Amino acid sequence: MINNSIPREEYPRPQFERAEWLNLNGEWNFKFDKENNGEKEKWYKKFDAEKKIIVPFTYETKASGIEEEEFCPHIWYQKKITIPSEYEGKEIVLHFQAADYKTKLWVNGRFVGERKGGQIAFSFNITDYLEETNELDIVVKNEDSQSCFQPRGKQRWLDQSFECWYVQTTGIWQTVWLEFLNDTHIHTVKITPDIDSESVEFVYEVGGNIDSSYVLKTSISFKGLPIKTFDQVVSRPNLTINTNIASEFHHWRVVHWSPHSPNLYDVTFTLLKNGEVIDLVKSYFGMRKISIENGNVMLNNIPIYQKLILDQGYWEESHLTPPSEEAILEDIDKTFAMGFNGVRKHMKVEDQRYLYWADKKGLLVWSEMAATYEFSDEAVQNFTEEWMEVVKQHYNHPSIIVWTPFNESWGVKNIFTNRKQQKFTEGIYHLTKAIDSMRPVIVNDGWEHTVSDIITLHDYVEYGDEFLNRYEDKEKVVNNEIAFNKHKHAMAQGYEYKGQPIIISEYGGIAFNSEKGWGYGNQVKNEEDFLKRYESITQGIKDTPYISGFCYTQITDVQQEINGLLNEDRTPKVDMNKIKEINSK
Amino acid sequence: MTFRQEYPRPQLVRGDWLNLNGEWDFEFDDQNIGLEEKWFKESAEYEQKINVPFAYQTKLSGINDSTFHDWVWYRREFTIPDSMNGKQIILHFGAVDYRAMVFINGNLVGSHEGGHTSFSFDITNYLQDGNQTLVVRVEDPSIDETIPRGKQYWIEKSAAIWYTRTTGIWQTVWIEAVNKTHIKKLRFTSDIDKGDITIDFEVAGDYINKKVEIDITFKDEVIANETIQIYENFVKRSINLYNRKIFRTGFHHVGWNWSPENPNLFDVKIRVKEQEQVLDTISSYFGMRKIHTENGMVYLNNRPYYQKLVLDQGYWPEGLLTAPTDEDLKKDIELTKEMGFNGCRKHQKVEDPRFLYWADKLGFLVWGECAASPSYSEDAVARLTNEWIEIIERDYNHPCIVTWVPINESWGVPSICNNDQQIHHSAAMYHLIHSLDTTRLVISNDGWELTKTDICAIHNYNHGQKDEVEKYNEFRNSLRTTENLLLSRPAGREIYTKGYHHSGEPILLTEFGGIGYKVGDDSGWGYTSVTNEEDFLADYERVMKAVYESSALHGYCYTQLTDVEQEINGLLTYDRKPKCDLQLLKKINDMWHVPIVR
Repeated sequence: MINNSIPREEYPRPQFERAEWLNLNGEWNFKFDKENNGEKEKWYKKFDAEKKIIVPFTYETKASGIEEEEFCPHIWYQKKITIPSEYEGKEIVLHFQAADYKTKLWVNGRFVGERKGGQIAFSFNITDYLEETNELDIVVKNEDSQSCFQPRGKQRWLDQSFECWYVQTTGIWQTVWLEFLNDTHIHTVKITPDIDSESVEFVYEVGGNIDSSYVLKTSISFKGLPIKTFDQVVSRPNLTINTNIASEFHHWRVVHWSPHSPNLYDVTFTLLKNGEVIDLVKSYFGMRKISIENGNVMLNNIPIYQKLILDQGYWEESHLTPPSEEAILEDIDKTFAMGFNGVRKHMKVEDQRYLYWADKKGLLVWSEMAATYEFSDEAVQNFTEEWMEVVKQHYNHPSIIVWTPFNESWGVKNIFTNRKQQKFTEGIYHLTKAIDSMRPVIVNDGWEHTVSDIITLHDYVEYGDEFLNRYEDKEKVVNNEIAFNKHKHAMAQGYEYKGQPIIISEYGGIAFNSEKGWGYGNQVKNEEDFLKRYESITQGIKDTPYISGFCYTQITDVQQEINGLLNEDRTPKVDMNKIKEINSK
Repeated sequence: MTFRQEYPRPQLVRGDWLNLNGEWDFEFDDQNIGLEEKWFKESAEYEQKINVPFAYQTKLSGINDSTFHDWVWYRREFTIPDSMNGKQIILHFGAVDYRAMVFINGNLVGSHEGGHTSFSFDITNYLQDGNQTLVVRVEDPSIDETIPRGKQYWIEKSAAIWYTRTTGIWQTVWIEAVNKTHIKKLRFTSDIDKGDITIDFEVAGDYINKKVEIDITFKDEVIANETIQIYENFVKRSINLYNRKIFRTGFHHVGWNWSPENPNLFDVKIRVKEQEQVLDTISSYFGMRKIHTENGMVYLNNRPYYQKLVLDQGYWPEGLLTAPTDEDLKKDIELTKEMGFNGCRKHQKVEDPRFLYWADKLGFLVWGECAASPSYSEDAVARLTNEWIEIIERDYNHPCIVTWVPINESWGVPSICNNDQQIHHSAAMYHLIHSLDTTRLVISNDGWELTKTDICAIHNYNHGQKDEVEKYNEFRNSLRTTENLLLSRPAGREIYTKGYHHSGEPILLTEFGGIGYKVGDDSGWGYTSVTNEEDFLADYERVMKAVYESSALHGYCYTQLTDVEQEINGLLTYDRKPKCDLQLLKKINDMWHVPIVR
């Protein structure tokens, strides 16, 4: 790779876009610190570079230029940059879109702060760390561990990969960038659409010093046509506006967002002081409603049959980091090309660029948290803190229609009978709704449900007849009279089925005959057998009347798991049109 | 004079420590320029002095200023005692309200958010030869209604039920020295049904070839002495204490169980050793105590237990949220017990661990309640949630705490009667707390508009003045039966909120009374008022009779222990002088009460 090329150069936070920013991806100095001596030896004051790394790719990946799979718990990054003179006098905010697991930051030799959580974006205001010159010496230390008390998703906690756990992701794995702001600026805007009243609610938070000379202008448009504009005097840091958005621009007055018509309204927030623009942020929203009625999942008050595919978001040469904007688009386009209308993003909080394109193109997304694997107070604390951030950070995306904090009892492995673990999932269910009451929450995707808005079942039975046989009597399944997927039950002990929609949210996992990896069940010989099995089981699920959707395992091969419809490099393993035909029947 | 010299963490005692309370440099930073001007440097000039651990709003701080100052800075120098040389030095803060940034020798060490919980930093790497300079910058937004602030008013002058704010350090600051290998977390869970104590601990640092010795004694009798070879840094071990001895159980008498009447505590010593070298020694204690509900009653150690609590805000005239001395914490418990109560609900405050220590020692039930934010927001949800996780982490071991109260009277969830998000927040707190602690009861919203809850906690101040006979009769009637209690709308609000209903949990009247009785010159208010001691006692008896004659109430919490600022509804004055003969109060509290009928 050429040293001065910048990977992932696109704007990293498309839901909240400003013009004044600087992408810090690309080459950084890098050091392993196996013995954890760096802080004692003050590497943040004098960094003797040993290696180079291409940010935002982790040292484990080929794209990073290092490609070392052995786990190292302490790693260091360093980069010197000069702030362009045009930004003099501005507040400087250093953003990390994601870094796993703990991040410590020094600027010009001084400690700035510490954050933890591998799936969330975070930032530091570093204005006060600027010295006389416009130079910034940025030093980052990441601390990771093999602890099962920290949310780790599919990252192995042993030295070797096993079953469906892959090479770990350590350190920076999404874009690092600088943003230049005025002291007074728009901090966050929470956008909640309500199609029933044809209105949208904005909850604003303005940061910095305010007084009544500040005015916040909100301009909504649709494909360039102005819809609404209104001004508010910034009398306090928190403002809320609920506005009707019906307009003459369209014969239906309001257009909804759906997979068929992913209509997005553009919105610009402008902060003005005595007429002068202090801050300008571009965003967008979709008018869509997700709800549950009579055992059906409804999109915009119409039942929607969800055809999802399990998507782990791993790439061959860059692991959890999408290698490029094109790679993101390719995944979404191929998902549609195979006749799916959505994805279940598995054990990963996906890159905001992915969600942006899902919003744009109308892809339904289930958002799932990376799991811990042992239950303890520490795990509860780590999980809860990070999950609240996830829900807050991704709230505005219309594409996300479901939250899935837990999967297959990972992290709560005794939930079937253990009261504390059951209470934890109930706590997270309610907590998610305390922040976001518009989306369904599935606390434990797969089996052993406690409280949940959708009852989801995972079953890797190979053929449709067997499936139909097992699932013929809904009551027996939901009342725990029938076990599935190696003696799992639908409900945890002490919880009852309450008429929720039922979705088979993992099945399939078909793999071709191969020595180098595994799939679910028997491996198949050829494409014909593959499609035969795919059709049999998919049709079996579709023919079960009370089931309102499915999620096939999975979109691509991932490392030792070779059960994708696509290879790890995204080339199709079977004819995508034939998959689409079966899905569309 | 230096205050609060006692050991600040009585649940986990180590020998090698240094108290940093006393006179510090201090500065207001009203323009918030301190960070930019590097006030964390040794060379910065500070003009004021403050007496730590008292907030600048208190008399004892030496400043006594109740106006808003949202940013304040503290600085002091200290030297590391020779005994600590070569060890890891941990800097502890009992509590700092609300956000703290800590600097050692000009370098930022870390930050903490949350005004009620304790926190610490390993400062070893930041130390230099000779004098060390410690600087603390505190941010406490006076008017932000989305941070947990409890009774701290967001308007400058105290009024109604809100008092002067507490900004910055308000509990002890101290350092301790540990070896790299040391006990990091220690947790006791008692099981009186089996006679077991379960000890969970985490060993920090290198644990290979180390062993842990656990000595348990009861009233100086050695009960257990175990050595555990450590293979993992997390260790969990249950030890049987009753050993088939019937008098140790609660079967005939109290046995070895802990209760307010018999505050039996076991002493524990834990040593981490490598060969014969001792790497860490800590002392602690625990009580064998069980609390649960059944048949509409609260059971303590498997027997129905009628709780007689007093609402305790934990404010002192000269220290506000900070007790001037350890003795003051002890005295409040002794006075409360003298009046015939068996516990308190600590209101809108996570109390100093020294208070909890005395409650453990003296036998006193405590309901733990965190400060609320006045308004609801997603940030407020996250703040309360994070703070509760830290509270339980810190205070889990205290046998005195029997109930957690995450939300009071819908504070922080003002629209809970019909707002789904706020209903979920309350339910989330209930379940989340139980995911960390199944040994205690949780009340999802003390007062009214309950969601999922272990106790149906109702507040009712409608007893009326003594000549308001009809009002009083209505009050009596509303307490008389379960049905009446559940239909009562004491503050115009439903007892259970939308989607939730009573399902047999015990009903307690957890706020009532508040009889105002002015002693001295201060003007103030109470829920009703009297003018002399005789009337005060008579009114107290009148109110208590209505409670005691109820066949549906299984305990109460009277408002309140002391006067606080403009509130004159205490049983004691603000400076803890009894307003009446405490023996006569006790006589009323000792009255016979109707047993619960099921």
